[in-house]
Order: sequence, then structure tokens, then C-alpha cells
Amino acid sequence: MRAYANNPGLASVSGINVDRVVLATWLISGALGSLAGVFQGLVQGQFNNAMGESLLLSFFAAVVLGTIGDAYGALAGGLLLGLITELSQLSIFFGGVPSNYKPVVAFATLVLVLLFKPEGIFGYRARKV
Amino acid sequence: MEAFIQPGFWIFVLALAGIYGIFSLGLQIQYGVGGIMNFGHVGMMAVSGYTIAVLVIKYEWNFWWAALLGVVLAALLGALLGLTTLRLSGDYFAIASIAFAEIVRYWILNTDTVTGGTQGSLAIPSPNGFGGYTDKPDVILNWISERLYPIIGDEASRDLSMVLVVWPFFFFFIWISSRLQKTSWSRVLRATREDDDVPRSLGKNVFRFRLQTLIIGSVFGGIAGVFWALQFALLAPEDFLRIVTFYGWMILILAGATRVKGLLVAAIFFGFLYGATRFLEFWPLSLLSSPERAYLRVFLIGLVIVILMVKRPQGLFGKRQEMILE
Repeated sequence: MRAYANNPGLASVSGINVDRVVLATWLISGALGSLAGVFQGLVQGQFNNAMGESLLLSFFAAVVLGTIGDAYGALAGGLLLGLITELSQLSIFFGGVPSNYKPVVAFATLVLVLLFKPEGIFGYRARKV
Repeated sequence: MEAFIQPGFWIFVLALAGIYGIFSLGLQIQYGVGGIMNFGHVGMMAVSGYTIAVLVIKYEWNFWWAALLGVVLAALLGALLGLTTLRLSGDYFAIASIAFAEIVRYWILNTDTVTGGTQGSLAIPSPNGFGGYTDKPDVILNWISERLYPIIGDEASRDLSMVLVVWPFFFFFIWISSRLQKTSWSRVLRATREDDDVPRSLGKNVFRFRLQTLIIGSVFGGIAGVFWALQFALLAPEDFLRIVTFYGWMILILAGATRVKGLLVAAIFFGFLYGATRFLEFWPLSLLSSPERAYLRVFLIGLVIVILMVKRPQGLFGKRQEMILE
């Protein structure tokens, strides 16, 4: 899978079935995504078809924050992002951000992380960005 | 089906096509020439639309002066987006630009006292005290309608006036844009799209070229916002959801990313898709109610993008050789 991500052509000539890798990637991520959806529904007790819309960018932020390609990093990134958005409401930080702006804090975190630490918190070297 | 043969329907389609055509002209120059994937284009439209609404309602500005300032603000916003995030490469910039447009929307949504918040421009306080619905767009469009009435009679409508306002601008901008794409400036830009290092080794400042492209595209986005404000007169934060950017992308992909003139046809096709879904009353769609069927357009537009990407990634008019969608 990593070989394919780096160079599809090279992966293909060294005998990797590229189509199967892509298919497997989508299958796994689709299954994980739907599992997350089930849990989200269980936690919130209600759900609608636009539920994911507002979460998608926060997910991106969490993944980038916790280093792309690091599974535990995604866990830590999610936790950290949650802490950042919730703690930003506290009045000790610049008087606190109004709660309506919670998603904005998440988006701003995403942009800032992309700009200043694109390799994420666990990235040991600058990945190609 | 009789809705499709009425001229009023097609005039509405043309008015929409003009607005969204100008909107996707901005994306065309950003992506088709500069290779910048901007998924936050709707933010520029929102900013200029809301600037006009606030200035016209609250400070009773002249519509066209407010429009000018709106476009300038959209350009500045484009510069801000570029200066902060354009150093990121393709996919990362795309993510950052979505986040950027969402920040703009949340800002509009939550600064109730300025923008009216969830109630849209209806709730912008005006010096006259009453609700801020602006009749200035109506005054402008009705002025044209009244001039037209002696000539063509009952066909003179608000939408027709809109078509007459927006299409000359659309043609003019297409002409400007295609002229721009024959200059040496855009040749450098095309080189940056294919490979950053080549123009850089020739001493070109790649970042500056990209930033200029982003700003020019944002200006088109801002101008689309002006016509949006003129057509709908009433703005709400829900008008500027992420999906609007992808309407523009659908037009662009349909036309072929490098084909400016293809936008004409693609925009009309989009306007038809957007306007027609309410009138598709045959089985099995007749099982849905009319407002439910309106949501079909989102479904159909997604479907068109998927089919195009699979079958004809260079668009209807594009050249496969110049294809940059991999």
C-alpha cells in the first residue's frame, strides 16, 4: 500500500496488483468510516444525513495534526483537537472563544497545522508537502 | 413537461447560468491555467454578496459602489488565502481552502449584528428601523423591465432583465479571460502547473504567479457574488454552503478545465439541471414531492461529475493531451 502511495507506476512494475491495493484501501477505510458512523449515532442518540458534513474537516484536522500515516497519531490528534476546541472556550485563554465559533477553531487549527507543522506531532522528518 | 417549453423557464436557466458561469470562470483560471485546486471559492462569493447587502441596507450605499467594494474585498480575501496557505501543495491547499470558506461562512453566521446571522440579510438592521430587505436590486431590474415592456410585452420579467445584465458581462469576462490565457504570463503559469521546478530554474517566482492567479480567480468569484446579490436580493448563510463551490467545479469539469468558451455551454447545462429537477414529474420521480425533487439536483450534479471523471475526464470540449486530471 505504501509502495503504491509513493509511486503507482513503480509499484505496478514490481508485481503489485495496484487495482487490488486500491480496492482494499477503500474497503478498509469505508468499513472503518461506517463503524465510526455507528458509534457516532450511538453517542449522540440521534443522527441525520448531514451529520458527516460538519465533521469531515475536523477529521482532516485530527489526522494531519497526528501525522498522516500514523494510526496512533490519528488517535492522539483527535484527542488533542477535541481538547483544543473545548479548551478554547475557557475564559482564561484570551477571554474565551464564543461557543458558536467552535468549528472555526477546529478549521483554524487545521490551517495552522498545515502551515507550521505539516508533518504532524509525531512526524520525525518533514514529509513532502 | 409543459414547463420546459415556457420561455420563462429558459430565461431563469440563462440567468442562473450567467451567474454560475462567471463563478466558474474564476475556478477555470485557477485550476485550468494555474493548477490550483480551490475548493473554497464560494467564500469569495459570500464575502462580496454580503458586503453589498450590508452596505446597501445599513449605510444606504449606491448598489454599484457597494458592488465595487465587494469585489475588492473578495480580491483581498483571495490574497489573504493565498499568502497564508498557497505554499501548500495541491491536496493540502484544497483542504485548507475548504476550511477557509467554512470559516467565512461561520463568521457570517455568527456576527448577527452585522450580517443578520441565520436570518440572512432580512435581519440586517437598517437606519429606517424596519427589516433590512433591500429593494435596490428590484429597482435596478425593474427599471430595465419597464424599458423592455413596450417592446416585448408580457415577456419582460425580472429574470429577463437579469439575463440582459449578466450575459454581456459573462461574454466580456470570457473574452478577457481567453485573451489573458494567450499572454506570456499565462504560459509561465501553465509551466508552474506542470512542474514547479522548471519555471523556478528559469528565475520565475512561482509563488507570485500562483498568488496573482488566485486573486484574479477571486475577483471573478466576487463578481459572481455581485450578480447573486442582484438576482436573489436576499442572502442567507445557507446559500454559501460548500456544495456551491462544487456546482462551479461541475461546470468546469463539464467544459474541460482548459476550455474557456466551453463554460458557456456547460453553464447553461448546469442551469438546466439546477432549474429543471423540480419539473421532472414522471414516474418514479413523481413519488417524491416537489421540494424533495428539488434535492435531486444535488444528486444529479454529483452523478454528472462521477460519470464525467470516469468516462471523459477532459470534459466535453477539452483536449486529452492537455488533460491535467490524472
